[in-house]
Amino acid sequence: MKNEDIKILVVDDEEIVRESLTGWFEEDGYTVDNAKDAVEALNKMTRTRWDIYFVDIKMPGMDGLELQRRIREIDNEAIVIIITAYASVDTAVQALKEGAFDYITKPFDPDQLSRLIRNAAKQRRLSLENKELKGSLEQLITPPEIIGSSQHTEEIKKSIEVVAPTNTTVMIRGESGTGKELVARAIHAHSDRRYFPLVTVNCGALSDSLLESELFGHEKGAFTGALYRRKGKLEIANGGTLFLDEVGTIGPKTQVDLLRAIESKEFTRLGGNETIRSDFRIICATNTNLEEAVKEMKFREDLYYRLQVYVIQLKPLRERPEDIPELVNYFIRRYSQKMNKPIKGIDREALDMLMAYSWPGNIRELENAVEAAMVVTKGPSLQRNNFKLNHSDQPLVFSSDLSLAEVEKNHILNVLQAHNWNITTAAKLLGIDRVTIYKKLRKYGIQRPKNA
Amino acid sequence: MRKIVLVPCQFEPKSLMPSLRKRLEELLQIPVHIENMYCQPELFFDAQRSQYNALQILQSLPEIESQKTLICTAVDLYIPIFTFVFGLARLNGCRGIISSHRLSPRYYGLPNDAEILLKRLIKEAVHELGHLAGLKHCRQFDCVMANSATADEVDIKSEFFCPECHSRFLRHFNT
Repeated sequence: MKNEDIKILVVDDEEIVRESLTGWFEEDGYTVDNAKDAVEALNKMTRTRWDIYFVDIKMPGMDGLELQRRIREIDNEAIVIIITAYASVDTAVQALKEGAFDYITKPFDPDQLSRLIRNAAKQRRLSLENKELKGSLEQLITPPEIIGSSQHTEEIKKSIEVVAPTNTTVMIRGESGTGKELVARAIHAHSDRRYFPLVTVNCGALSDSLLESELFGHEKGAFTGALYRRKGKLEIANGGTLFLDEVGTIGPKTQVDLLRAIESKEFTRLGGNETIRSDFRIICATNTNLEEAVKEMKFREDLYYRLQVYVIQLKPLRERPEDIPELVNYFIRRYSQKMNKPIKGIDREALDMLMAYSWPGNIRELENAVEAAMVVTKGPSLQRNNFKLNHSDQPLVFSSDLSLAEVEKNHILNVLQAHNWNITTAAKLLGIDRVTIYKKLRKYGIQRPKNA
Repeated sequence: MRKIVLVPCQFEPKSLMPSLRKRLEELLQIPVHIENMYCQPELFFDAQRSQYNALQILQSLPEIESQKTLICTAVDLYIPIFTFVFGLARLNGCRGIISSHRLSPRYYGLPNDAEILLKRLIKEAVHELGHLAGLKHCRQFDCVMANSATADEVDIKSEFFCPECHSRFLRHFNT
């Protein structure tokens, strides 16, 4: 931004001041105009947006202080510099309290005025640049889309809107593949922390000691292989959000350290003494029964209550099948672009089949199913035979030829598959305890598949 | 081509005037003359400030379109809104003024140094003549058109125009 792009308006009732300042700023290459009083200045403001105002504090009619307030109402970021005589320094101080950039007393020292205008122009340039960059960032940080219009999805969207602007810790619960990370991203993208990083840690993928080092960082030589000092995710998330996925898998020692770090926002790197301060917001997710884990002393109760401040419970897809058509169409649009395949939509019959399916892998499974169908389809729309679903062609029908034992075996298997092999949930649904279900599994030779 | 006329008016030390004229002619490649003109700064003396109003001094001089007139004085100049000025000239005007008062090392409690004073006077004269040619302040720190509000800042810049200011200056004087 060149000097000529900075627009200065000099407002003073003394002609000599107006002319001299206008001439001085013009020599410096700024675009300058002047006004003899506040009314003329306000009129000029309606036509042009001025960057810097030099306002005399004592003017007939509306004084400089009042004019400053009016300027603030119209453009809160404009820079106002108050011109004053020695006698009215008190009023100038009042102007500063009300947001003036600076004040200058008559007669001006040329050196002081030069510095003042340079600093004011610099400030204005930075402020405009900052605004522009934020605008570009806004375009980049588009919040992820939450697809679906079921009552449940609408409630989730509302919850995100409510909790995002706060600093509250959020616990997102739901089965695997229900979109917990997507909700975490949406919360971050709608929060004031959106210009800072969203750091994701998948606690389940790391051993306890690795997770500790990942979260808190380490000093050089803290342990074998620690060749360099490394910042932890808590430190990297400064100003932003830390998303702890599969929080239920954190080991007991790390739970203690994490609780302390969350409460005090202070921690030390492994092998270090320096206290690091970091301002982060915690969002965590789990698909396990944390209450059970607390009862079994596997998860600390204090950490549980610290994390369980605002809970968003995501329902599995089978409990909100009305979201399926929108999700399918969304994935079709996304993969048509990615694969450059002009698929228009999905057949009614195929959609009915998808809506009837239990989706144990939830939205993730649906996405993969749509992607796979898009690969094999040859027509302009997806058809029933393009989908290869587990048991999609085997609805839950109990034939009269089956023995009671076979019916029991099939039913247990179906319930387990429907609940992603969560033994506790399945046992609760079947109305038996966990020990009994394990006995039945052994009895019927049912084995948990490796990918469940 | 317009000529440049230097008008000494209570200027001290007088011995610097020929050197100033010669150097300006070398730098600007334009004829520079020294002429006497009726000029009475004492009429515009402000007793309260113990300074002379530069604006009023300039306004008291006749406007001669065919030449650029530069008053050289040793009195302390001011304009009402500023505590002092080294010199004054209107953009595209034909009258300007410079003062040796605050350019002299003696003003800052240092020993008299004619060489330093001459260098500063040359820069200030070229600077004001630049304004008379329509040049604004330049952002190149070493260009003579760089804004300088202190004697130190005058010392930092050179006595030459940067290429862009130079071509603008020549365009003005050749039209």
